Amino acid sequence: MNQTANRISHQSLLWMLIAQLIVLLPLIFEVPVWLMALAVVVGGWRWGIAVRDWSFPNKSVRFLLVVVVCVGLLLSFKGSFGMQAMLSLLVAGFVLKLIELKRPSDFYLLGYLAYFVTGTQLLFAASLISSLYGLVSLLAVTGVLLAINGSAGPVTVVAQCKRLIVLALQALPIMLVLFLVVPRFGALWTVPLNKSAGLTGVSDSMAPGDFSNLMRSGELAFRVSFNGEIPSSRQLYWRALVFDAFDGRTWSQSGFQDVQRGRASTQWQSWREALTLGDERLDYQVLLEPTAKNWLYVLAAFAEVPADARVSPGLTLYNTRAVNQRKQYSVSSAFNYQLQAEGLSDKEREMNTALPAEANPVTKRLAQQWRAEATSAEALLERLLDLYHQRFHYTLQPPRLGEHTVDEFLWQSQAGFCEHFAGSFVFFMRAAGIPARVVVGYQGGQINSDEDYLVVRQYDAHAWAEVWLAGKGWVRIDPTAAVAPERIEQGVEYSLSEDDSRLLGNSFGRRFEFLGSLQLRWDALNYRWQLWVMGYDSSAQQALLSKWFGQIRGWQLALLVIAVVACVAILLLLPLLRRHKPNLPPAELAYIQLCRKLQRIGLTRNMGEAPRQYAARVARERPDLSADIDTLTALFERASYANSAEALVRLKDAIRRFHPREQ
Amino acid sequence: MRDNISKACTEIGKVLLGKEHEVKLALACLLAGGHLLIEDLPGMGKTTLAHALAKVLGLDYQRVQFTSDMLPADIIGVSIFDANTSQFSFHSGPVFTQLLLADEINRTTPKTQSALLEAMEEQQVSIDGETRPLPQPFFVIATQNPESQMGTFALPESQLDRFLMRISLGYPSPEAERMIFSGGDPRQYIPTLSRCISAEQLIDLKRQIRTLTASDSLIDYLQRLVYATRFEQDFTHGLSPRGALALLQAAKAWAYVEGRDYVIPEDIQTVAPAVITHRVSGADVTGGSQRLIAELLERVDVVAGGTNS
Repeated sequence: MNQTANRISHQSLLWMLIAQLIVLLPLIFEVPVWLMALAVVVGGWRWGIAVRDWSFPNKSVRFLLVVVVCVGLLLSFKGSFGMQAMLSLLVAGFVLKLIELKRPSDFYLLGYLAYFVTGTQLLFAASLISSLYGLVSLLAVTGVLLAINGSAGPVTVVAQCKRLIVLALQALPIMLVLFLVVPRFGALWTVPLNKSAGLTGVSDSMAPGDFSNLMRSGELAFRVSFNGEIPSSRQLYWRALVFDAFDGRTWSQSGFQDVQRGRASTQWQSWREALTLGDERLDYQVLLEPTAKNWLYVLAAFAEVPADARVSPGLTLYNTRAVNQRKQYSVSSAFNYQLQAEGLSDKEREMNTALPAEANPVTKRLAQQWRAEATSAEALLERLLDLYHQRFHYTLQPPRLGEHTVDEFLWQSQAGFCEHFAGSFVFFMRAAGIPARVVVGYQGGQINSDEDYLVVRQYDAHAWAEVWLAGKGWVRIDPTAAVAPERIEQGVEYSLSEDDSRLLGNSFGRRFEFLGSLQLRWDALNYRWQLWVMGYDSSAQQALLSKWFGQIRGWQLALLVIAVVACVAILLLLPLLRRHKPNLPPAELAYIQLCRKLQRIGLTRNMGEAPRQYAARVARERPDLSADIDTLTALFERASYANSAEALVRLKDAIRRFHPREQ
Repeated sequence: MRDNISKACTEIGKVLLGKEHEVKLALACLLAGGHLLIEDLPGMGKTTLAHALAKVLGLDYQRVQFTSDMLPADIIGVSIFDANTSQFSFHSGPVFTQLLLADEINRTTPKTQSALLEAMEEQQVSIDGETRPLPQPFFVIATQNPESQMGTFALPESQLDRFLMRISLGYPSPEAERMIFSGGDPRQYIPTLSRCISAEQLIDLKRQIRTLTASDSLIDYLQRLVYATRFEQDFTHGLSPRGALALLQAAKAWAYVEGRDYVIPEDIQTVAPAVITHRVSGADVTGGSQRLIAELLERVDVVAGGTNS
């Protein structure tokens, strides 16, 4: 590589262009398309400058380019300055710098910028793949910097790669120490990620048809590892939201339950009193994918509340802020519990039996009639579930429903899936005067037997009902289980006709067993990565450090960090400190060591004494060392003056083993 | 080829007893393609060394005894009008040879001395506006008496610089002198010396010597030496880049004579007195500047940072 003058060789430019491509590739969907086109054009332009001797653009052209790009960005993002807009600005600068790339110093700047851009890759994807890709980008950029910074003379690609790998391996321990010890701060500020619209997941309202979209997505919702055996699928009701308001078509949260706007601010303590838990506990950790919503998924009923989570009156957990990054939390739950068995307040009873005046008159009338005929609430419940069991069937392609959705569903179409069953069931109960509400979340999940954890995907989304019975409190009733028990016991894919099955997300992986198991294995790997690397936050750090160093206090941790940083800094600065001496060739450094060893036994080399003269004098004064010193001198001469690499290795080795003693 | 060189050394040693080091220096000088100046008192064997070198190197040689009334034309040649052809014809002088022995060069006037200048530097002569190349290889071995002697003209500095080395022979050792006494005048044996190297081989050798390895470490040492001559107070003026190059070239030739492919600091130290003394100042070769060089070599570190002060 040519680095003699202030010129950049074609080869290093080509490498830089390739590295830039590698770094920008994952961002292709995050920045406007025209910016990527600009990158290609500018890259070609710079290559033309190098190869075809085109001239560099002058100041006015560059200014014009900057203005055009800025205006373009403003138009593309319509004035919203979210993460993507800022990233696009960065990418634009990164790309346009190419046409200013004249001196090696520009080259370095671009290289360092490339590191930064590499970091931004992880803003949008934090999977194992993207981390590995980030590593590749990192190595590519480092390789380019190495190439232009390398010693004179042509260097083969293999030698270059070797140096790169050595460098990376040297950096590895520093990276590990920094990873483990540097304090993890939470986000100091939040940058709005314009992505929440694209995320699928359970939403804060439920209208007929909403869930069918979810069912078509095979995307990951969350993963759970259990301390102990994984419970049977029938018990895995992951509750997230409680809907207690109905406007005739859509179920949603009343102000009382609303977790999104933080109105459900009831403290845990008062609900703890309303909750009676059985003795058996189940501990598990949930790793939740970003949802851009703030509710969390738990099994009822939890005994402990994770830090920074709140409890809603509907016995659901929610986070204080939206889950924009993968979140990990531990919960301890009991399957046997009673909630508000002592009774409901008037306000709650009213809220949980309220129905819009006009909606579904047929159901209302029948409910009243059935209530009159039934001996108890339980009997009424049984009768309704029996009706579901006898007459309804489970399908992902229900007929469209008109104005009175519950009426039409219950007495005409009688085909649908969880949201229809849950919604109509709760409506019927309320019409009969029994407090009832809809609970949404996920049900079941797939067990990854390789790693022994549970994967819950979007198509596991589910809605069920809770009714309040005197003396029992809130009781979970799943009308879907009455219609299609296999949905609850084995998973949604077993409950569908073949026709429906195709609608379900990720049909490919489920169709072919081999691909499915491959997918499970890959997911397992990813899960470990998320759990141990991405999920290494301040609490995990604290736990690890206290495991290693015992109970550690804040100031001790700070001291440890300072010590580690100081060690790293000294390691890095050591070569610089040494540099105040002239930068000596290795052979001379080795020879100096030899001279020091001889000085210790009183044979100091004089300034102008050439190696052979010195050797002759040493041999004269210490005949016993004569053979050694002659060999060493001959090796030094060949290493230092004949540029023999082989002699250098032998010289270093021989000097290490040379231990002259005083007589 | 190296065998030939050591053979040449022994051959010359037959007539110049006990002066192996000087003989080797002289050979190295010629192998490096440089001109040689031998300076000493009369009767120390200067001319013997010059003759012996010419003989063993197998070169055409001419000898010119410089005198105070010599003119440039006596060396270079002269154009004479030929009455028969009505044209000037050039009668070449003794300089048109491969090896020119310029005996007692400082006995002649500066005008005649400088006539040699172009010949030595350019390997060609210009007469009557016409340039004539000299045979290849072309060496000048000059001898001179110390300038303190009567009837000498000190060589101008520019001309001294043309000589790669200036050596002096010195008195022979007692043993060598006894052998001279018993054997008679060594010069009578010169015709019996055998030729060891051909002219073509000499040209080839010169090229080979240029390609010897001079490592970065060695160049560092050379530079430290050169800097010391330039920036230390002992010297009125330091070594020129040409002088430094000459030092390196001579060191390479010495390394070759010593049978090595690479140059070591000793090579520089060995040739330094012969190469530097007549360049850093015009002082007498046996006098102060030689002592200066010795001190310089002692002072300048061979291995950078290698000594423990």
